[in-house]
Amino acid sequence: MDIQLKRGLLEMGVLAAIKRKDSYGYQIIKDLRPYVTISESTLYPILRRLETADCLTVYNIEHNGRLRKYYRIMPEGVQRLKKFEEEWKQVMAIYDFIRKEEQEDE
Amino acid sequence: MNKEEFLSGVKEKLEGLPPKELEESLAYYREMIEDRMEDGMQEEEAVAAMGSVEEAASQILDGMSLPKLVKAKVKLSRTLRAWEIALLIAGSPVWVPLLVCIVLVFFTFYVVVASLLFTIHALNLALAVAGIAGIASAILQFATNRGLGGGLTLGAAIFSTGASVLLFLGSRHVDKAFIHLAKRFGIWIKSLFLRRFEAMEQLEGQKGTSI
Repeated sequence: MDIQLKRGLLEMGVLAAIKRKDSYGYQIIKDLRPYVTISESTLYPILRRLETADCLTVYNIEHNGRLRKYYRIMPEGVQRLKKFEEEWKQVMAIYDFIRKEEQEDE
Repeated sequence: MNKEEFLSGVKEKLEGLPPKELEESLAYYREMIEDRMEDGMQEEEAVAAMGSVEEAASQILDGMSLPKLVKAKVKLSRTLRAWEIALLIAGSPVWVPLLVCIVLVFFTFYVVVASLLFTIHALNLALAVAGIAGIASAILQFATNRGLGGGLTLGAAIFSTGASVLLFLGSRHVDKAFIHLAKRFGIWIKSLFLRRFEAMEQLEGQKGTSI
């Protein structure tokens, strides 16, 4: 898959994973696992970018005598998810058209 | 590889980064490994799930913006020795004009290519206008019973219009190629910084181990 596209999709996946409830790194990876495999090394720059873009904010919670970072979605992040859903409808419409044309070719 | 070995491996690779940046990245990987271990994995297993040290280091660099990278690079060069600074200053009559020259060459290249594009578009427009005007003039000549002149003008006008359409189709590809080239150039500049940054790190790392 195109790297830029995949990056954008993973960003949306991460935002969706923290939307309902604040979450932490490993939990995000586990939540996404049934749908897409994302490694720790891939997740890190995504979280950083989303933080820089004010899509999420980070805070620490003590857990078993160590600190764990939790990520909370910000209004900008919610906005981006909404925009993504809108745009994706167009993508799906084009996808349906492509499928239809291909089926007619067969 | 255990947790500490992995973390110190990443740290070594990113020695030149701002300490805060470095600490944050290491804390992230530490948390990830510990969470996996809590989930029932053995330490070695959890570390193996992180992938290689090189991959982790390059992803950390990847997440940083170009200004940050440049800043980190500047910070690295602040540790220059006195004689290196002296050499830089003494050499400035040579390298400053050279740098200016290189920048100007690239700039000139852009201007030349851009003006070439402009010329093509101007020619295209001229052909289109000539075509439309020619057709109008031909109609006028036909209407005033000057059939021969009208026919000649009409032929020239159709030729001009056709050439303009062809040129338009071609010039779109040229435009695309130019934009593509400009983008590639931007990426190249960024990779130049990344590469130099990594090279400097290796140099720093070697210095560290030899002492």
